[in-house]
Amino acid sequence: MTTDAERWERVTDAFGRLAELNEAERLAALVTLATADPGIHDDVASLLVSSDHVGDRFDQPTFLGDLADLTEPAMSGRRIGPYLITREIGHGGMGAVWEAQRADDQYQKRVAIKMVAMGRDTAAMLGRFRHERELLARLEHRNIATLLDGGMTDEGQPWFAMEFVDGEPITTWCDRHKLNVRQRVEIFRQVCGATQYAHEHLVVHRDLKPGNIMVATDGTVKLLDFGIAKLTDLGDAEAGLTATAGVALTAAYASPEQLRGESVSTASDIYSLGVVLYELLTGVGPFTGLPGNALERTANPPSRAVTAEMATAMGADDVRGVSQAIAGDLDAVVLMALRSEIERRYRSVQQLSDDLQRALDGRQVFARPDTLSYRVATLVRRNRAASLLAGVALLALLGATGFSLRQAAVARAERDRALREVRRTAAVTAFFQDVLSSARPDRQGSGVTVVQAIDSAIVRTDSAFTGQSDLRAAIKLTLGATLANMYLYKRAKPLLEDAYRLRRAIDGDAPSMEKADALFSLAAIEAEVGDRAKAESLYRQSIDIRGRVTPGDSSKIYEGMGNVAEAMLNGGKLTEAAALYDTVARALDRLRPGDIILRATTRANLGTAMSQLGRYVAAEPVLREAVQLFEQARGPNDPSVAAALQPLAGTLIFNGKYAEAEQVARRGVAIYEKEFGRSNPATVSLVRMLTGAMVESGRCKEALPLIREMLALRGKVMAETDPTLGVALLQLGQCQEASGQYAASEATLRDALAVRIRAFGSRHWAVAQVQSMLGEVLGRRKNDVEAEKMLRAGYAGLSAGLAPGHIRTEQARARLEGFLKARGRVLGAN
Amino acid sequence: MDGQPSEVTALLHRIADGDEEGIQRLIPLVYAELRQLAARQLRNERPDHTLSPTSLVHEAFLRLTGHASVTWEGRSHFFRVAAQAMRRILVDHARRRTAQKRGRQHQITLDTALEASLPSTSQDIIGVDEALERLALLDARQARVVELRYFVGLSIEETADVIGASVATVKRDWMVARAWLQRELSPNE
Repeated sequence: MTTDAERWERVTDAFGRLAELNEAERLAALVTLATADPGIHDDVASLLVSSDHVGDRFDQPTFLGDLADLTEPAMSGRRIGPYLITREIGHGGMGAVWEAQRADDQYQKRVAIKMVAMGRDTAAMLGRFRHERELLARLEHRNIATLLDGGMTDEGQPWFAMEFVDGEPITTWCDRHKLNVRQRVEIFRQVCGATQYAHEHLVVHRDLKPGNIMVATDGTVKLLDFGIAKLTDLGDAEAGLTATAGVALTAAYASPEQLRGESVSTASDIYSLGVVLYELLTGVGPFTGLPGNALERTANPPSRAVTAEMATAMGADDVRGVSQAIAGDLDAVVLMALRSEIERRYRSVQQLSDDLQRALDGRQVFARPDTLSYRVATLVRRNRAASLLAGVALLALLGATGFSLRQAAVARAERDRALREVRRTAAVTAFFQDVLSSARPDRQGSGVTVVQAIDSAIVRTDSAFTGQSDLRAAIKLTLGATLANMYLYKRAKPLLEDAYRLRRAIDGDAPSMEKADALFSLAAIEAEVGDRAKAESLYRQSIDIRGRVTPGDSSKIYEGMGNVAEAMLNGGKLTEAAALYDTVARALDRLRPGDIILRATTRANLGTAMSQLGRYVAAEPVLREAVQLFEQARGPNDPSVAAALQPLAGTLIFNGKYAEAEQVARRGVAIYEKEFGRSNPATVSLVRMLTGAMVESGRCKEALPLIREMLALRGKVMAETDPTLGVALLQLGQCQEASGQYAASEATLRDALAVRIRAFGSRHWAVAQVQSMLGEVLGRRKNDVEAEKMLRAGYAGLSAGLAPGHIRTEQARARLEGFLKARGRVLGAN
Repeated sequence: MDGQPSEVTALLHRIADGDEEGIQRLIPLVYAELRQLAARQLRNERPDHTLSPTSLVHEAFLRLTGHASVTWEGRSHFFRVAAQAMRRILVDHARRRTAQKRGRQHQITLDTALEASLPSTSQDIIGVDEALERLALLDARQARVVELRYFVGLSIEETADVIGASVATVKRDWMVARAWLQRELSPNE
């Protein structure tokens, strides 16, 4: 880099900073600059002066000129049909418009005359022109500018005369009158009404945009130029220019099918209306940048696009209030109008308009995806957002520090890699949008389900990306992870295995993040439904690869080790799990003190493992620390705090601190309830801690209503395998026993036993715990044979499954001993 | 469109894959198309059609790619190339026109048709072209921003998209480059 360029970089930076300031601040900043960097002070100062004088000198690309300017002098004063042209009032891609009045007119009626560019004057084309004109003439609606007349000049140039509208575009009118969100939607519904009317009369506008949607001085909405675009198309078709028809339109408001040069229908108007509404609500269009962006990107929800200028134009205090008014229903409605696939948009303008009314009334809108597809879509969006963000952030970083990086070949390679990544992500994203769009969540009972759509995507992947094995791998990886997240492990597994094989073929033995990710997802599946030992080994392989891909980023490795530990924990290898968690926790404290979330998560898991190991006294401070770290990172009311409060409450119960356990559980319940509602599995998992504390401290009366509340969710939000179900049944059985209802207690505990066997398998300590309690009740029911069998099985199971001396094991032993003692026997004698 | 779409699309793919030669082969194609489009629109086919570099470039893009799907990178390359082509067309035209003025030649050509509609910016066009050579040495990206904004008329957002920088960066680049041009092209400086 030359010294000139380095210096210029400093000038640019300083100029950029100072240009933002007001006069006084600028002067002060210049004084500072004069001492801080005297070499550039004069330059910056003179550029600031030049900047003030530049005006629009370089802004307007008028070099090729505007042919309308050339023709205007000739047009003025000219007679067209019965009209006399007085002045030009505007021009655009569609042609110029002149103001005129009837030459023979006693009413001095003003009209707008529009010339339409046509190709050669063939008879067939003129026939179609007349046909269209007749259709247009039939449009009589108070919100549509009337077509008054039309004909052909002596030179064979077709023209129209339309009602002259003295007004301004809807966007500026709304801004000037400071309309709020509701008022804007209301006036927009008038636009919908007029468009719907035209559609019923077989006329599609094809070029709806603010410039064609005027509000007259008396406040009446007037739509201009209905159907005119089609007439120019007639000319284009004749001239062999169909493919460029889209150019004449305003690309920003044109639907994807128009941009692609495909056939146009009422759905295209719906899309354009969506763009106009988006702009009315946010102040910007849904897509910025190059014209093709609408084809491959998804618009942000309007609530997130509201500009500060728009908030001001609505008379609102800040963006937040406006965003809140739009978020949710209006977001959904606007985005549904903007869907790139025709069949997923509203089917009529009427439907759009009705949905807007529903949104205003606070009623359920039609535009709402079902939960399943929503989940998948969110997932895909999240993945995409994450990877895109990474790419974009990297690009932005490179852009910002471009001067120093540009020189280095390393940096260039890095940037190329980032660009490739963005492009790859875009291709994968496009594919998924396609996949998801074939599922019709808005038409339940018909069409394709999301799972079917994914199945068809699986079939299509190989043919759609032949020869692009990296894309195939990426898609299979995402599909697999998506299915795994929907608990469809059997379908997910072969995809992930494929993805891994593909990556292996590409990378060989070289480490790659994709390979690590595929193994990681496979490990998660094994941990969930398969072989836990295998899960552990897959996790280890995945960690090993991650470690080699990002040698500097040890947090990834420890995150992976955390998962290995979790697999161990779930596989019953408690001691090893706790040891590993302990290692990870210590390493993170040392290496990544700033990664508070990861440190907190590891501690929560470590504490849980310790608690299960019977080390509840030692577990307590570990879990308290986890809670405190989550609070520090996310605030006191974050769900992650509640997630750590849950094992803490359990540990406190073990430690006999019932009052505090109850307090901790109540706090967790409150957090989850606010976040997820009362009848949510997460909330209920904390309610069971609350009832646990009550039951253990002998307060069954207080606990029972809550226990029944939990059980009422069985078969609804609570699955048969939900751990809370077993606990709630156990607590109920315990309370029934305490109040002497032994028959009821036996039935409840048998139920609990079945539930836990289903959830954990017959050899888990959680099953043994029920067996022990059931044995005690059976003893009271004088079913001694089965009672002893149960008590012994329970004690054995707990001894094997939990650490020696665990309170649960001790309780089971006490039950067995009590049973035997009452019958004059002692433990150990068979 | 004479098999051109596939050729241009293929070139764009090659450029996206890092083939620098593709750019050299693309420039003349885009240049020819832009001139041809301008000439046709200046004939009486569309007497009231607005003719701006922006719409010409957009139209050339659609015609040359024939609506084939082109990636963001491809489009970005196309607009960069088109900006260079447009710059050449405009500068050549401005040079000829000033020469014509001096020589009092009189021909009914595309250029004379243009001349009638041109504001007095010929000097600016030539001046900007020369100044840009100097700016490119100081900051290549700022020079590109000017090329896309001044010679094609792309918006800030479109420019940001083409060069792959943030809107804020382009805005700042444009402001400082514009101020610099103003200073460079001011006679009293």
